[in-house]
Amino acid sequence: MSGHNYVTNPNSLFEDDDVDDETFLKNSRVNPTSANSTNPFEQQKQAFEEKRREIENRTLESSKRSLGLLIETEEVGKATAGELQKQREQLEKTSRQLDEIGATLRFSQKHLNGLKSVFGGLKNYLAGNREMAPRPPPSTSASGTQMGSPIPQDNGLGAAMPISAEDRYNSHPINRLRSDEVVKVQSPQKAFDSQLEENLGEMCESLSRLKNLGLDLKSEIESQNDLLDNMNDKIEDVDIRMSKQNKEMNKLLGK
Amino acid sequence: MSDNEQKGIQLMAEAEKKLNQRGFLGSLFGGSNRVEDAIECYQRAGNLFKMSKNWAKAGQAFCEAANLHAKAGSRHDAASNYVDASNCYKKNDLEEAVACLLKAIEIYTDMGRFTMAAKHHQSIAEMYEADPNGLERAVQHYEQAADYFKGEESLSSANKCLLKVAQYAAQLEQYDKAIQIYEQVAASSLESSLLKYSAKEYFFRAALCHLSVDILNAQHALERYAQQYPAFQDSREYKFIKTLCEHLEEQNVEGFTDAVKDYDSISRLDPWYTTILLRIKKQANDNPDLR
Repeated sequence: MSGHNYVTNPNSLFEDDDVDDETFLKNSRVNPTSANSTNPFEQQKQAFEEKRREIENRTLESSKRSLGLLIETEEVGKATAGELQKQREQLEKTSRQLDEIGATLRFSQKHLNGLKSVFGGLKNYLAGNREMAPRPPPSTSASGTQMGSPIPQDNGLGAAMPISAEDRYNSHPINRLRSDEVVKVQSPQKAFDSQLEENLGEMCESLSRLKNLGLDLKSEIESQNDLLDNMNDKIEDVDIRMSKQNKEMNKLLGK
Repeated sequence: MSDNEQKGIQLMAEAEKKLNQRGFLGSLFGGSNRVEDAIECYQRAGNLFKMSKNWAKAGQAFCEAANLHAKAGSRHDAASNYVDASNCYKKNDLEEAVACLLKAIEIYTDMGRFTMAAKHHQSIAEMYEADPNGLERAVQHYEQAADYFKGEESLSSANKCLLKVAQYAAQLEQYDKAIQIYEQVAASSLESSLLKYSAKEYFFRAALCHLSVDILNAQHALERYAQQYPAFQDSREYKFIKTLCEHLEEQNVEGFTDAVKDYDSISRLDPWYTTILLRIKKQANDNPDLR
């Protein structure tokens, strides 16, 4: 239930902040009359306080904005991850189909050879074609397992990363600072600090998530590159065989 | 009437003439040739109509070509012509476009090309999506597409369609269905190292759907999600839902609004979230004593 406690804090912080702001404003209105302009230091102090508050607000605003941007970046990263996953599926499918094409080509080569040697074997060719039609694609399963292997590796990497990142995150000074800060929230200064700390903490979390996401994306792209290389080889093989068969067929028909 | 259009009409007439001639000749060889000629004429006419932006006529021409292809037995060509036709009809006649796509889908499923069929179901759903009264039909087509995609092992496309189904189901107040889909998709994306980052969002959406039905259930669901995916507990979404639950329990509508505003100031809530959150708030307002 630590999360539960954690949640209530920002709200109470906010209320604290508001109340303190009001009292602060009242004070600033009262102080010049009571202390009057006789005390220049008091005025100066007032001006500085004002400035400080301004800066604090700006800092808070900017931290909020950065957090928003980080979250947006994460959205984009997530979408990219989804697309990459889709690409992988499509690549695997294409590769499987290529295997099938390769198998079909092997059979057609066989038939072509038959045609070449005995031209009268046309009947045989037709019958053979019908028999061979439901052939099992032999290389599919082998390539399937081959392709499957990079994924577990990814998982291992992905699982290892968050843990180490979390450890690092827990040992990060910000985290220790924050846990100290949450305990004592009295003055507006403290409220500001803890608010900022919270935003910074979230930014840190967000960044570490983004980093992991980036790493995962990288490893996914690498494994997809391997897949593409693999496919390139297969396509070239099929291309060569196809052009060879085409030539043979031309020879057969041209005669 | 533009030049292109006139030429197109001429071509259509020519194609029809060619088709009719076939009857007199009757010979098989000449006949098939004439059909091919007619098809080509129709296709050219369709392209000309396209150039002159006469979408209805272009669609009609492509449809004719597709019909002839289907008669001639080249089913793949027929299907792709139907798709062309629907692309033309799409510009101004939704129903016709859908009818054409459905014909194409029928052919593709017949041929066993389920991926193509699923894609066309998806585009039908996207057409209905734009129409405010078509949401239910859009959901149906998305579901069909998801089924086909699943059958073809393209899980990410299937999940994408399912998410759309859930989104619209929630908008149509079918929360149970939406919750079920979100939980299912989240569980499947947790297994992938790439997709686990998105699981958070699905849990968040599921929890919101729970919240619009019942607070207690939502709290139980939250705990379950946190067990399923420990990192969810640290997320802003989890904290946000927790605060919302507390405010709802205390009947603190203002606190609820403030929490939403606070969340919105950092990460924008899209129309879907806004709709659901507004519904939750309205519910809290309507029956303050029911809990």
